[in-house]
Amino acid sequence: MDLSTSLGRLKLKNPVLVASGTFGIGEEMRRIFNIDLLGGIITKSVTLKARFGNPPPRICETPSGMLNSIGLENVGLERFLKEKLPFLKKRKTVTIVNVAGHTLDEFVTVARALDRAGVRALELNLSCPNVGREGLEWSQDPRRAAEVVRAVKRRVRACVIAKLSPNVTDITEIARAAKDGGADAVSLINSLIGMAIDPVTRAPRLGAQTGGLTGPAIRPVAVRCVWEVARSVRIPILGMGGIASAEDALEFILAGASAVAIGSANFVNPKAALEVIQGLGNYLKRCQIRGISDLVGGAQPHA
Amino acid sequence: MPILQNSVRIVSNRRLAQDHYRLRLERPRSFPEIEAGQFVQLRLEEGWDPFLPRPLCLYEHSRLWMDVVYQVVGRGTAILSKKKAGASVGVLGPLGLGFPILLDGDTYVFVAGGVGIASLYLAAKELVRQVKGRARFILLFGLKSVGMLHCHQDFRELGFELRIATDDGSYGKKGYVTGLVEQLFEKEQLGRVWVYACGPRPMFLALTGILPRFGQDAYLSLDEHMACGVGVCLGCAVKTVRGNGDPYRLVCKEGPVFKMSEIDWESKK
Repeated sequence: MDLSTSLGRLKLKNPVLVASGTFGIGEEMRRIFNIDLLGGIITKSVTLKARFGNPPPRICETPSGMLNSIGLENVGLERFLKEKLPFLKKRKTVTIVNVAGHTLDEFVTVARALDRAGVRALELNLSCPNVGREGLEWSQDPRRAAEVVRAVKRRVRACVIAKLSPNVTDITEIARAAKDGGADAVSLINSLIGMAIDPVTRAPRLGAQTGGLTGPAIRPVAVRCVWEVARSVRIPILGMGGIASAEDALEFILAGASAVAIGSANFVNPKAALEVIQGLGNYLKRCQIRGISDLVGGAQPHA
Repeated sequence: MPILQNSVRIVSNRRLAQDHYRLRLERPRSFPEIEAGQFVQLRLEEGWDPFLPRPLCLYEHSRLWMDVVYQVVGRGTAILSKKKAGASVGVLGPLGLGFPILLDGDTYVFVAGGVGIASLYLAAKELVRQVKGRARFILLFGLKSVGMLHCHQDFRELGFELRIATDDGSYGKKGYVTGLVEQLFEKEQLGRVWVYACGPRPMFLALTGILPRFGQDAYLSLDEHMACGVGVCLGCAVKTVRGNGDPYRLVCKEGPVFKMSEIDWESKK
């Protein structure tokens, strides 16, 4: 029984990672369980300069999910390299650093610095809904998506994964652009833009008015995105969006994801990723399947 | 310090007053030591709706059990209130940094609004244990109506003087608890005072208008919408008056207890 998998040239000991922004870098979660057992850790977004984040309230519960408008709060590149990276380097699991930027130059500068510091994989956040339109536009315009991926790819040795937004008409078009730009893989999906209003105060429930919807509520949308991209673009897929159990993870793998990430389920059940790893192992055993890679894209369309 | 995540059994789930319950949970042997003012994340384990766990302060505990007192305010707490002994809930904790236990007070004033009283009891118990006989303990408790009166007897048994206000005048003085605070500080010689408080946002805002007039700060246990409870989601940020750099702090990890003077109350209005 083999749980190992890969995203292009990035080898993973198992296909279960934790999604950006739902795990910090693991310092807190390490107090709850052994995070070295994860297939990988995708960090909270790193930007060139520190960002303090959006005004509260920053989260709001919704049916089977939640909205967030954190606003890319992070300590910035310099402090990340000094204070966070050493912790990640000591882990016995793959680190993927999520990179966000306002400009092409910012993406390239941050990516290069991380690459030079020895980071082996980068996830480009082309799709943060919480920093105004500029956060999203990288993954709403295929030309710009290709442009930023290409610019980063030219300057780094690290594996480059483009994280795409579902807030588009045709996600396969953006995935194809990311591939043309040279992306090693795509992460599907980032959160959906959403909103909630309090009838008592008659005001939006989030301080930033709108936010990103995550949780089991978005899973069918995410599975559909993975399915569409897997069937039309030859690029490895890291699937995410509402995964909370091994059954959920299997949907993504069968739709075509080579690996998956657990997102806001980490907030509800910090050991969700461990349970998914174990559940996938049990599934392979029960179905007498040799390895996870035999399942990737295994769902056949109805005639 | 480790944090324990576990499914634990409900020992009892007793109604204390209208909409208020005291939930007793089995305390797992490996559950870390609890400090006054810390909380747990309670999660309904069936399904994903409600999605998020509920952060609740620990009320009292022994080696074998731990209690939270909660008010039914929405669907999550309504479901919780129907749980019977023997059922289980998910627990993550202990979380946060609790109240400082300051031993040099002449008078300890506890200000509670509604179910906020539940966050204060452990600190009250610990302070009484350490300084009883050397200091005066006063509980100022405000609530909507007499039907919601709960937990006050536990403070009385610790030796607290009780002053209670109800919005509708059905018990104690008619009005808000902050009226009791104003009256206390205006009329009495209290010596060196430490104020511990927990309640709804309007109560905190009112305290910021009263206590500074008497040169008094307070330790407050704050409530924010919270997802993870451990400091990774960055959802429960509260704005502070820290001048340079990041003004936000996390209620779950750097709180829930903050000094009143640390918080940017303009941002909470």
